[in-house]
Amino acid sequence: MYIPVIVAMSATQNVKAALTGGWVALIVAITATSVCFLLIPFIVKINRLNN
Amino acid sequence: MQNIINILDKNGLIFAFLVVGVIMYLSFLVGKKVTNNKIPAAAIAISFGLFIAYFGKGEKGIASIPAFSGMALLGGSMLRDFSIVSTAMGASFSEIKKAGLAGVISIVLGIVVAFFVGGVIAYFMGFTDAKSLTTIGAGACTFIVGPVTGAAVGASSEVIAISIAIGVIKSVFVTIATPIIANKIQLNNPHTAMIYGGMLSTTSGVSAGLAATDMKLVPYGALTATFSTGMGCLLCPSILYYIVQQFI
Repeated sequence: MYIPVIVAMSATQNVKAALTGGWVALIVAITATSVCFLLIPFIVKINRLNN
Repeated sequence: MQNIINILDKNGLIFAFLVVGVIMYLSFLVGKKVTNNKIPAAAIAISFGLFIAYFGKGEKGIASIPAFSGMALLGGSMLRDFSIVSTAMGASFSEIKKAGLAGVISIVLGIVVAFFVGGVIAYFMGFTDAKSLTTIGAGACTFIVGPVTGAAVGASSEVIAISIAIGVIKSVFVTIATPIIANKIQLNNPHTAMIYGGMLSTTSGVSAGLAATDMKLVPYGALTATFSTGMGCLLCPSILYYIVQQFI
């Protein structure tokens, strides 16, 4: 249900001003996601040790 | 013409439902036909929302045009909180138990890691107030956690838009990257799929990414990703915001 609400929310933000922020969105998204990807094998390992 | 605008203005919420419905339908078609389900329809719809917001004048995006004023109500705090509460009611503890200890660790770690990595980068890119840093860090969790947190802590509309954009890029990135790196992280069993879903939080990206990797793993990843999103909506505007305040 909340996807439509988020669509409406995104349509009512100050996107023009946000675009002046430039590369922030792209850099934050790619870096943060990559770090999370890298951590997955470690948690899998912890899980194996516990079992 | 003026009459039509008056009617649309008076029935703002109904017209907003129609507009969002059309956007969702078109995004679904584009996702299915053009990208062959490779890019989640939700990410396309939200990108489209950000795109039309660009044509509004100033702070309120498309809602600054009278005919679209209802969009502010549909995307406002009342319906947002309503949908969060109704989603939380659907979560069952027996399902969480299935995820096990590793699942729980990944859910919490996925939020905390994305939040602080996002926040630190934002800090070095010139954002210095706790509200903006918290909102951008929350956007690094998912495109739902970002705006929910931004609205809760009272961040500016511009920063909320950035946090939504971060979440959308993350969703698309996860979708594309998953099948490519699935072998490297041994994403071929339900347990790893659960850890993967918890770490990446974005339900749409995780579902689409797993669907492209192995259809059977989708429910496991989607389960922990959904909990992770809920956990993000809880932690970011409260404890994590408090921690950021201590540092700034």
